[in-house]
Parts: sequence; C-alpha cells; structure tokens
Amino acid sequence: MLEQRRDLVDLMDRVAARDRIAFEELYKATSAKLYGVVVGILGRRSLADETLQEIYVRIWERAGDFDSTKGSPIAWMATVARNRALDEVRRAKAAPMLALPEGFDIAAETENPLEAMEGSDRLRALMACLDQLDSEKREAVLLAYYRGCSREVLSRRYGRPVPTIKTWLHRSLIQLRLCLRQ
Amino acid sequence: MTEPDDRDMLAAEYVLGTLDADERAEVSTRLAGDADLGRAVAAWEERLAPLISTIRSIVPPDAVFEALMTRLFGSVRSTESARAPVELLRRHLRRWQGASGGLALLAASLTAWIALRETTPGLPSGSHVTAVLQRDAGAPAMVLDIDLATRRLTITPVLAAAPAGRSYELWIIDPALGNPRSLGLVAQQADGHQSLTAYDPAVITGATYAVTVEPAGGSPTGQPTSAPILTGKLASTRS
Repeated sequence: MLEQRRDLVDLMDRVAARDRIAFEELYKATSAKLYGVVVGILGRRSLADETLQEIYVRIWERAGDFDSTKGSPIAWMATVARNRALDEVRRAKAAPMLALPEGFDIAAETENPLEAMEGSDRLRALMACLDQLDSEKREAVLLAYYRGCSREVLSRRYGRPVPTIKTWLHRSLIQLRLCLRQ
Repeated sequence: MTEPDDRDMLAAEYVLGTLDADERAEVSTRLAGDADLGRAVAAWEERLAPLISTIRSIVPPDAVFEALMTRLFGSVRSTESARAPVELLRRHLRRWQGASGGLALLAASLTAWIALRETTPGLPSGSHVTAVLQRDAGAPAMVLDIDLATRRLTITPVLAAAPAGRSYELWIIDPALGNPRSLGLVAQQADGHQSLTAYDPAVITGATYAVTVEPAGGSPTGQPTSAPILTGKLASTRS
C-alpha cells in the first residue's frame, strides 16, 4: 500500500513536469477508481465518460498543485473527481434519485470493504464514528458522499423538509467531527 | 463574516456534496481568497478521505483514454515526445478559432488552466509570462500576457461578448492582498492594457487571476458579485 502510494507520488511529480508517459501510467493506475467515484455520482455512463475525461485534463494541468505532505495522490485525485462530478450533477439537474436503491448498505456499495479496511486505521475510526449516527442519518451522509445527493434529493427521499435535512446533516457532521477527534 | 461554525458547516457540506449549484459556486469563489475556509475544506476532505478506499473501482471504456490522449496530445500514441506547451497552445487556439459558435460554454462555470512561461525562468528584465484563462483545454477564452519588467498586463479576450448589460471584470487574488482586487474590465475589441505597478512581482507571478460577469461598468461593490467563469494562474513549465 505504502509502496503503491510512493509510486503514485513519483508519477505525480513526473506528470507535473509534463511527462506524458507518466500521465498514461497514472491514468492506468487510477482511472478505475476515479470512474467508480464519477459513476456513483453521475449514474449515466455517457455523462460519466465525458466527465472522467475532463477530470484527467484537470489532473494533467494541475498536477503541480499536488502536495504530498498534505495527503495521498489518490485522495487528491478523488477530490478533483468528486468536485467535478458534483458540479456536473448540480448543473445537469440530473436526478440520481431515480437510480437510488431502496436501502443503502455500505457493504453492497463497495467491492470489498474488509480488504479496503485492512491497514487503514483511519477508515476504521471513521466507520466507528459513522456507526454512532442514527441509521437514517448515517445513510443520508453516505448517500451524499457516494451518490452526490443534494439536500433537495435527500428531502424527497426521506419525506422531510429541506431545513430538517440541513439540520440532520449539520448535527451528523458535528457529531462526526467530535468523534474523530477522540 | 460568518461565525466559525457556519463556515465549518459550509465547508463540511461542500466536501460532503450536499450544497446546491449556487452554493457550490459561492464556496469555489470564496476559496480563492478565504484561507480559513480553505483550511476548513481541507480538514473535511481529510476526515472523509478514508471513504475513497471503499468506492468500487469500475474500469472505464477504452474510448475515454483515447479521447483524452487525442485531446491533450493530438494523438493516442505516445511515440512522439510530449509536445511543448506553447505548441499545444497554438494548436488549441487554432482549433478554437476554427470552431464556430464554440463559446456557449461560458454559461457554465470555470476552471481549468494552461499556463506557460515563454522566456527564461531567470527573470526579471524582458520577461514575459503568459497565462490562458479557460474553461477546458480545447477552448482558450482569454490570454493574459504580463511583461514583468514594466509590469504591464495585456489581456486578449477570445470569447464571445459579455451578455447584454453585463461586463467581464478581471481580478487578481492573492493571500498577500486580502480581498480580490479588480484589474478592471475586459475590453471586447482591442487588447486591453492594465498596469500592475502596484503589485510585487512575487504577487503577480503567484496570484490567481479570475474573470467574473458583473453589471455593465463593473462590480458596484469593488468585490466580485458572482462566481468566476474563468480562473488561471501563471506558472512555469519545467522543460
């Protein structure tokens, strides 16, 4: 895992120096993860394809902004991807609501959560804190993260007014922040 | 000024993804000049980052890779060495000039950039830095050229005229300056010149430049009143 991260840091450095070969390697190493991020939020494959392309254009252009002292390359790239996909889904007024599963189970969302959790104390800590939220509120937070659901979409899903959803989210986020500090 | 808790919740919802389009645009704009908000956003990104490892990977279609390579490098194969940025820019400009009606995209919001330094990185005398403010790599929209010796800025718009009754306004944004500072309106016809003598070279080369759509004649408040449609930074490219 650490090996892989160092490889990615090297690739990012080379991409920042306009190394096309490194950029191709970076794409091969990370595009499946970023496509997973984007498809989760945008749903529609055609829009996701276009958006993934935009995301890598941005990564190519902004690789120099990446700072390895502040986080991992994949976290930085996923942030670029999420921001772009969220801007896109808001702009398109796409309705991810339609595609939402009835229930929302993190185990079903993820390929292999146990493997993902291996070696990640931070993920374990975050999961433990998420577990402390009421199930509906936890689901709302995760739907927002994985599916890019806005307050309006969550309001429709849960049949609650938008201000109530906002209050839910704020309470949940404050609770998470406090929990993670422990 | 918002209370710290309001700011932290705004940052949290921005990262979580629950804000609407206007609120997201507002946060994006503020991030350019509000270091506290930037720290709050970074802290939330870090708190939630472990979730990334739980997202299921999906291999994208090969066509995405091919389209990306063609768009950035003009070809799918990497047998040729990466092109010099200047060459790339020229090609992008030509492509843009060849396309008609291409700039409806200005309705959409912002930010991607190509920037390059055309002369020696040694600075200062006779040095020019050029930045292209644009929305995506295929569509340059404004070219900024700064002569560092005279601190003279030339902005060449290559975009559609501002909507009726509105003006494009250029801003310089840097932590050293506090709030965004207006660099004036972007002239539609001839190249516009602005003097940057009020700013240090370090600020000029390190700042973010942004263009917003403002009421005709410019922002009445002296601060941007809308989210930037374009942003860019000057940066060197190592060669």
